[in-house]
Amino acid sequence: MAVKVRIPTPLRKLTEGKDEVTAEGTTVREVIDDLEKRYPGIKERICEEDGSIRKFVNLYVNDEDIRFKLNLDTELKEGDELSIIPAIAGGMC
Amino acid sequence: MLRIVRDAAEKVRENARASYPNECCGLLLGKEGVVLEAVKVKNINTERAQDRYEIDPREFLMVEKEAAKRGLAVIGIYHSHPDHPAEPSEFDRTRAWPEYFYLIVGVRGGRETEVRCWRLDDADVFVEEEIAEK
Repeated sequence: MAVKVRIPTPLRKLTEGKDEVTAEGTTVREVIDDLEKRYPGIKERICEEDGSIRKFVNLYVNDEDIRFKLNLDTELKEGDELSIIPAIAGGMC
Repeated sequence: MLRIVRDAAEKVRENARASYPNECCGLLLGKEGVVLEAVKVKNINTERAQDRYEIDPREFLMVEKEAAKRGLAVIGIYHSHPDHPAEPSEFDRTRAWPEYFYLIVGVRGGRETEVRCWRLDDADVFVEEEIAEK
């Protein structure tokens, strides 16, 4: 099943500049693995070596944070949109 | 080099002045390396609002989606440093993402002192970028 994946600017070098791509899978984990096949190098920007989501990356299915759902096992249905959102923070000290 | 239209640059400075003594934060929208709009967003780090900022990922997503409909992308982030120079801190660096332009406004006593722009290089070191306001 194909879902739309939104790619943030810092990762677009890996997706030929595209801000939105398509990937196959019925869970977030499967979609990320499929993304890696299509755009090698993208998985390590999203996941740690042990496969868990990187601390400063947020993944949303439609408008919901997958950390509040089933995490990487969150299921996707036709028409869902997976968004990769960089965690943005900083400050003067 | 960061190219930014005057209205967007003024909005960033205004936001920095109005938020003093707290930090402000926002997103820079543009295309082809030119910032066309600055969008103020909420600082969700309310405990340390005077020296830290954090952007709500849901608000980031909403702004980015709305921008994409108009052919724009988030190409940078801005924030202010109240009573501090417009230089990135080590915390700024460790939390920065490549590709984005990081615009920092130094504010002293409610007035902006300087606006500087930074971007990570391949070794994750911040390199200053010239700003061209037009």
